Amino acid sequence: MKYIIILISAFFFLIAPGGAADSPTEARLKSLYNEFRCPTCQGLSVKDSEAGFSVQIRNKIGEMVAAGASDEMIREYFVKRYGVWILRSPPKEGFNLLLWGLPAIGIVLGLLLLYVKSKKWVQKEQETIKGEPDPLTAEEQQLLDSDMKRFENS
Amino acid sequence: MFTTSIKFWGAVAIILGFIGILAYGLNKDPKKVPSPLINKEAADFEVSSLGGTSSLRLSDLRGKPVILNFWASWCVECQTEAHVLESFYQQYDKKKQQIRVIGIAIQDTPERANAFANQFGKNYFLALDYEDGRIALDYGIYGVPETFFIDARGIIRFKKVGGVTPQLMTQQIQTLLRSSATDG
Amino acid sequence: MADIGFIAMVMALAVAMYGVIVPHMGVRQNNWNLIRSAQYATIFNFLLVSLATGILVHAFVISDFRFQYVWANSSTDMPIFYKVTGFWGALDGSLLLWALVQSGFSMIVAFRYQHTNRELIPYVIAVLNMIMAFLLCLLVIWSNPFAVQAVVPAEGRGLNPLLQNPGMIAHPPSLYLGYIGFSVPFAFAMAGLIHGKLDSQWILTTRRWTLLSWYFLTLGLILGGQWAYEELGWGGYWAWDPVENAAFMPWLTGTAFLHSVMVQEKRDMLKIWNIVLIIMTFGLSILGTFLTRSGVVNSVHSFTQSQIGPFFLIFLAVVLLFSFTLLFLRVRQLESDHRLESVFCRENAFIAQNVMFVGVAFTVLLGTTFPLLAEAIQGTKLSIQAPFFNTITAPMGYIIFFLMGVGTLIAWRRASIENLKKNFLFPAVAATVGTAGIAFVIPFNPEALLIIWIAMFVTMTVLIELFKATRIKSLQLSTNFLMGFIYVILRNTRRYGGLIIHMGVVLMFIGFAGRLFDIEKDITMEMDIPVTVGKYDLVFQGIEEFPVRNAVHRAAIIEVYQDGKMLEVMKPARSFYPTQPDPLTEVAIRRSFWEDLYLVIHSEAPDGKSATIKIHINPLVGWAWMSLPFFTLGVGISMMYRPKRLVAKSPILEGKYIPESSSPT
Repeated sequence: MKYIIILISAFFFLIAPGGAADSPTEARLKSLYNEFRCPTCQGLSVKDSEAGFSVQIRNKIGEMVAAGASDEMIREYFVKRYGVWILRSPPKEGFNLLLWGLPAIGIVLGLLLLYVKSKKWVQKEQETIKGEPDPLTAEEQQLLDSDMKRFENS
Repeated sequence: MFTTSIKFWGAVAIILGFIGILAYGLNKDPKKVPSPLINKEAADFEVSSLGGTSSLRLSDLRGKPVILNFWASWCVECQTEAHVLESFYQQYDKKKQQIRVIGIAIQDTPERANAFANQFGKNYFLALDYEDGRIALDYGIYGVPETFFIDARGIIRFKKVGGVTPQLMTQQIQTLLRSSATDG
Repeated sequence: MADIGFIAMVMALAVAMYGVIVPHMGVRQNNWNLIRSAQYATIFNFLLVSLATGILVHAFVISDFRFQYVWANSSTDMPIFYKVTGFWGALDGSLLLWALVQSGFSMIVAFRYQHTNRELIPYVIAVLNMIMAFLLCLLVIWSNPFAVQAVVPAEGRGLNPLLQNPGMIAHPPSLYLGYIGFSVPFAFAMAGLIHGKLDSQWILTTRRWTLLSWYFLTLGLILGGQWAYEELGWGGYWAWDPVENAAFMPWLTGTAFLHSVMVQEKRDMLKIWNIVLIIMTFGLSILGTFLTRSGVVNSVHSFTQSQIGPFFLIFLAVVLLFSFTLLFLRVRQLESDHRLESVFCRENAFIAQNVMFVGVAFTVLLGTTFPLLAEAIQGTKLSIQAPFFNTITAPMGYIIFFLMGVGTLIAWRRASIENLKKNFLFPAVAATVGTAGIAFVIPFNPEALLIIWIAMFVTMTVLIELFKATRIKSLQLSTNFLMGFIYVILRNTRRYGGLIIHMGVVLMFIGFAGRLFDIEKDITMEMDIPVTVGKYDLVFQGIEEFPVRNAVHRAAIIEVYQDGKMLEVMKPARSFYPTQPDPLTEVAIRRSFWEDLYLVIHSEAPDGKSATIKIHINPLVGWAWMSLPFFTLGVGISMMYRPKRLVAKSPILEGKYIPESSSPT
């Protein structure tokens, strides 16, 4: 076991990127690029596409960052011109909250339902195990009553 | 039985609602994106013409409606709409001088744009976008051709994505002229 | 020839309709001969569709451009391999391929299960023929691949060069095999609902179909990912494109189904849920095809759009309404007595996993269709792409991944605290120690550490399970460890086949973790001046032009060095096809065990003295692909399992559907 861990750690050491990490500005630029869609392609960000529009949007973002614009200002700039459509994930506000919230709500409700139901299933099982007597039928009750009467009378 | 029928009709409603959304989507063109620039002031720019003979600043054209067309020599649909724009230019710009027609070529070179203009007969004011695509970005262009209809006060009234048709041009020009007439 | 192909399809349509109606008459008249005729109809149908397919393939081979479809998707300069496979390169042909496979499957099912599922088989035939009839309707009315043109062009337009890749050739048939395969359990479930025979026999009967369909869907998704990685040139393999999502959704519900049927088999629970899952899986297969083919959502695959959208939509509505109505009519008979001894038990681990899988499927569906909803209600256009999907589905994926480990060792019915401790303490501790060790050597990234922890946890649970079983078995048989191991696996093929698949999933998740450490640089390289990225030194040596197949490549010649030693000369290129206006990217990839060096050329200076190259270093990508052999082996082993209850056969007697000797159910 120990050896496995050492071996795996050693392997991961080998793949550790060697000094090519992005500078903070580079990292910020990349994450910004990743927020905007390439207007002409489908599914790709301007970061991953080389379409003319993507290159121009990237350059504009770079320019704005260099001029000291905040991320929010950059988003606003493009949304004002292209609409929210230019953002690859819609802002978490208004009607879009449905999009962001429903999956989590659905799963929580699903798991909650499972919990409540399985509590019930467990309860049913336990009741059977405890072996609570079934309620008597009318005939049995009559028989019991008459026996009791006889017993009391005697 | 009661809850079962509620569940049943609930499921039916969900299925039909879902199908309805998809059917709605079938009648929509996913490539048409509404522009947030409608009823906003058109961004100003200054360009010199393709031939380099004249220059133009958009804000200097106030008082006359402007038809601002974005195109490119590499764009196929631009070929088919070229003569439409040209004929309306001849009638309303050159002859009647009621409106201005401007064409901005994006992501293009002067040579190719000129060759295209000659081949497809574009004689109205043509210019190249800046190297950094400034004008295209300002107008939120995501494909060519796109055409903006700007009224006499410099407000964008309509945007057409894809090639223009004579019907659309006539209709939009009438609206623009009418509104500038009421403005006095 | 084209006429014969078309007539064959029309006849096949008629035969399929016969196969929908006649089985019911057979049941009503208690006449097996009528049902038998429907069985033979499936053979006839298969032959007719084969004939049509053969004619189309022949037209491709001889480049017969009288066929519009051949002209649009082939050219004489294409290699013969792409000519033949080009037949499913676009809508019409791929529908014909679908019809071919569907009719083949119907034929096998109609005969193979007539003894083990005598009561259901007429209805199964009817449902499968219904699907057949729908496909043939599409082919005959809307997308006839046998349409001819009066003027015969000398040269075809050629297959889309993006599709000229072996992975992309195998990708659509593989997905189709998956989609179509799931129609078999679906048909059995519907047959059970119509007939009223609601036991678990259908699940036992279709177990292998389910497994194989799952396998082909998985294969199709992986091939699609590899294709995207090699051809699209943006450095990744999964972009959450609507068409990718379309194939992913039935996979998700199919995977849930694969697991939850086990709960029904063992414990007789979840009968309704399983029918719901198979309806969803089949429905999502149709929806997937609809999304791909109708152009209702934007996609990189938009070359596949057509006008058949409305017809698909109607079919989807009919399938969903029909099957849910049937389900609701039988719902009271399906309710079973659920009992558990503890909330913590394998049943609940499976059901929780099901909730998560359906949750992911729902998320993907929501993300894919929400733009339409937003447009209808708000009038705004939205883009929903990778950032949304990654944010929402990644945590769900990790929970599923974790449950995979839990489900392996937790007991059926109940699990006490001691039981949990005994089984999970060691894997959890080992995973924690291992993750801590790794945390020291990789850049800090909590998400990656989480994935690594779960991966180790799952691996440990599997290894412990295998180790224990093998030790006991080899002691019992007093044989060596290897023999004991093989014996253990063969004794419980289904369980250990599953665990092997789980190990494939572990590899895949490690591959996902690798993506968190991607390096990506855009560099303009000058001639002979080395550039260092990661542990590599790259030297640009100029531009070279050479012909490849039916295209011309312009490649940047780049020498790759590590520690002063040359590893390889890489040639990222752009390819120019005579039939295409724009060049396509030809990525150069140097694959290794730990990472891929992935080069794309973006532009070159006019003098050829410099070029802009995008350099990606993608760690652990190969691990994700390595999952495929595990899936193949695991499914193969799991297929060997044969449920005992299936062996009982009831012979067909006196040419009757219900023989006098057996009482009706």
